[in-house]
Amino acid sequence: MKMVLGENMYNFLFNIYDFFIILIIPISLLFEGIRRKLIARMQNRIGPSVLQPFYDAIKLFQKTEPNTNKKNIISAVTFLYLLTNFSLFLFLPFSVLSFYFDVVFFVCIFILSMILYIISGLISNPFYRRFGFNRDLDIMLFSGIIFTIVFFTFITFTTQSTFYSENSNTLFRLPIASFCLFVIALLETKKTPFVITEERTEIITDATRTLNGRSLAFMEISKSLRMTFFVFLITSFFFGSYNLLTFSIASLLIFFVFVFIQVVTSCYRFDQIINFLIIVLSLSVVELIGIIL
Amino acid sequence: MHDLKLPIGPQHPAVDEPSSLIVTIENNRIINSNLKLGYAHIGIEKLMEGKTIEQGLHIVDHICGICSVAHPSCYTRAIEKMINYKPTMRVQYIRTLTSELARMQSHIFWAGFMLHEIGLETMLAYFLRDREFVLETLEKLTGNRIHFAIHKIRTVRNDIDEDDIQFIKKNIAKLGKNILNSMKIIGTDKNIKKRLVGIGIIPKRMAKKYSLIGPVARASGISIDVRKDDPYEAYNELDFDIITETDGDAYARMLVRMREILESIKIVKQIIENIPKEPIPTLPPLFIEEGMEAASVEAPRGENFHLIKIKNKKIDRARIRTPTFNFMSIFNKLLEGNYVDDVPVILTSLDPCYSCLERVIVIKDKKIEVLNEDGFRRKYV
Repeated sequence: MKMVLGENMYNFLFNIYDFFIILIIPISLLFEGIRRKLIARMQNRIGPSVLQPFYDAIKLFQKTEPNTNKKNIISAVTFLYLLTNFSLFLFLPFSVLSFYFDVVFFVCIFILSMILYIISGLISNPFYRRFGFNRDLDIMLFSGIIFTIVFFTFITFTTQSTFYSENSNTLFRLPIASFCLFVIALLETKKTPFVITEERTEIITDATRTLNGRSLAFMEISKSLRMTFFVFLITSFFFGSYNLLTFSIASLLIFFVFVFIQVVTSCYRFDQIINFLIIVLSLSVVELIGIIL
Repeated sequence: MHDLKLPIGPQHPAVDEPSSLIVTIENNRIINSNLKLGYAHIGIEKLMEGKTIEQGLHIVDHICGICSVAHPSCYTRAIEKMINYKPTMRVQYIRTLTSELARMQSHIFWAGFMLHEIGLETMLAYFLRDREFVLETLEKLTGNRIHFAIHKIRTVRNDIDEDDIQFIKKNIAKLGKNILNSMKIIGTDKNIKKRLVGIGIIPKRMAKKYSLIGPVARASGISIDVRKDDPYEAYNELDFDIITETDGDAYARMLVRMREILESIKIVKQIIENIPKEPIPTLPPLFIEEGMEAASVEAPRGENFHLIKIKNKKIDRARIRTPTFNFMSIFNKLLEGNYVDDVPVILTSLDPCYSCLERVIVIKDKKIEVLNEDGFRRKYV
């Protein structure tokens, strides 16, 4: 069988871990549901059902979008954003195509997803949303650069060009880069304390706030995917990936840390976030230079 | 980004009540702002005209959900001054008790929303939980959770018994413990300080210039409080301090209100220890032929002022000035130069209440048309 199908195809079809990626969208939506529930319970509220993100997604897919001339292009861009976020999981452990691509390709996909987010906002953006759009753009520049630096710091340190490592416990060995990665994760998932827009009060909303219907469903699923991706990424760096069970438990632990940070912190103002990111950027550069030297 | 005009409102999540704020922004900072009010106009003053004194009390009970003790308290004070009547001590103690409980729930509610504005939803949830202790107490005392309606002219609607006192003691003890914990968090959390310290600063001189009152003035170092300056109800029998801070920023306003909750707890404890044991008088409705009197009380947001004119046993004219009237004069000034992200923080730190503020001010148009209640309803409601 192995000879007939070829080694890669055989691994693809018969490695049970490979099917992990097929479930990644439901897992991400479940994570989002658990996140909301956990936050509610910590805040002394009952909170929504854990399955609420599924209901939300189904409802959004059923809604009709306004019949504008941009309708199809908005749907296409948001779908591409979903696709790029989904494809990020291909590089993680326990996935179909993991470890066959170089990390440079991964960074490119990551930055492409950011650009698609900005484009989706740019297309759908009415006049008063440009404030949030500008902020998103600023943050994209910072987080893209810091993420790339942090990533190459990890790669330089571990001398591995893939994520897969059974002893990649870098949490204490690279504390600054680990901290920077946490910051980027919170920033990219738009969670407190790094909520760049004033979305609670809707004075300044993010670039994609005017999406609706199917496009919004793609966007919301993408956001859940992005959060789950960062949880898995940090888990694979900090705890390694020995087996699926250990990986899952460690992921839940990291996920709980994420939720806890959201619950106990208030939001920074935009200028405070930028000042903070300048410090984070400087730290990440210093650590990379230190490792190279 | 140059000179972007950003409209906030009239219906907007950033403002709890309808108002239209247009801010001009340059480089994330506000260079100009324009606040328009008039969207929560409910015509209270006009509605009161032609009503009997008891009916007027019922209307002022419903001016505001948060100040629903302060308004009837001020109104009854004005009427009782008019007839030169001093209620019994027990009545005065019960009124003071409800006033302080209402102040506590207002401040707790405000503190929660203030922290919600900076993204700390958890504290909002905890403050709402704490507020429930006060609301349960008020519900036990008055039978209501929002419009308490405890006041009657010359007396009160409900008496309190030993069970009520035990219930108050239990709830106040729990509340005091939770408020101290919350104060500890507010005092130590760096993120909260980063968002509130130095925001919306009102120096003492400016506070005097704009005639600010209440916790906003006290946060700027002005020791002003009707409870001390012109004591009413049982306040001159009770021991409490006027809380002041000197910084005049949003954080100082937060500290003043939090410390005032503790002062209110102190007052409530004194009331339940010292409340005189005597019957509550049951009196018939009051009719006054003619008279005019003004009174003020310390509402949770500051000095509340009522001017009542009676003619032929009916209210001829009512003038109500709420603390928000004073605050909103400085609002545009405070926004200038601040980041646009701080608009909700500054607005909430003043604790405005438009439903209190907006009333019938113009009753005649250019054709000199005087509107009665029905006419007003047809035209404006």
